[in-house]
Amino acid sequence: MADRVNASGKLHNRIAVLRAERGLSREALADALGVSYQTIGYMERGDYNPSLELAFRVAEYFGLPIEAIFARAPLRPMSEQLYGERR
Amino acid sequence: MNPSTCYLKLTSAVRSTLSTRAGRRCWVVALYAFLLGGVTGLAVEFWFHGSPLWLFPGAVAMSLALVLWFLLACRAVPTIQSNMFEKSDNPLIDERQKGVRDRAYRQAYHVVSVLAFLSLLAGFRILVVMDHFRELMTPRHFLALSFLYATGVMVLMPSLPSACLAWIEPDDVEPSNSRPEAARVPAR
Repeated sequence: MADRVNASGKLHNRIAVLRAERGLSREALADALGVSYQTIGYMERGDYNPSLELAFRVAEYFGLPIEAIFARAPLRPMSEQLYGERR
Repeated sequence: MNPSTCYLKLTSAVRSTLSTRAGRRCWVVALYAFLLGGVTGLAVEFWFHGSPLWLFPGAVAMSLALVLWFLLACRAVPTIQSNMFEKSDNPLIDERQKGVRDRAYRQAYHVVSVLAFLSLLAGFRILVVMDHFRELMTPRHFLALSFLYATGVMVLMPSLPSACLAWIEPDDVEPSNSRPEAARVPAR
């Protein structure tokens, strides 16, 4: 039988890192996504899990696959994920 | 002056306490403590035939409760005010705010249900106690109890959703911090 899925309900994401990379303020990202800046902040802090629709909008905005931004397990740093696997 | 500017000016001294969940919870507790004190004071004043001892503190507590309610309600305006009875989607608030608004209304409904049940029990208990002491319910007593219930309902119904929202929302975040500095150009 497959392992039980982690039911904690917490989603991890890379929004803060991606936003910082692009030099965006929370307000600017919120305007682009059509949500409030509080919602962006709560997502970054893990206080709010976005709907699937909003998650896809975030992924489209950053031009990345959704699994690169959201995950159920804690995300490793992107550099480690990219270069660590090549070693 | 638009309402949000007016609100920012009015709350400039207390905004830091309203921006954290713990601070807002203290405000909610203070609001309902003042409200309970005020309504009870005024009802006791009615009950005991115009005793001025209870009138002044009751009125002061009620006034303070109304001020606290105003501040909490103003903070919740964008979310709570958004279409209490509207079914269609409101573009002014996002999915999280809609979710938190619905949760606040659900919690407020639960609190009101429990309080209504408890107040019915308390009403019956008062009648039983009065009967025990062979005391008749006079119009003044009836007025005092009616005042207590009516004020409770009138204030609880509109204030609870804002209070629940203030209670459940996490600490605020800054709109524009974490903006990284521009990359520095090497000296040479």
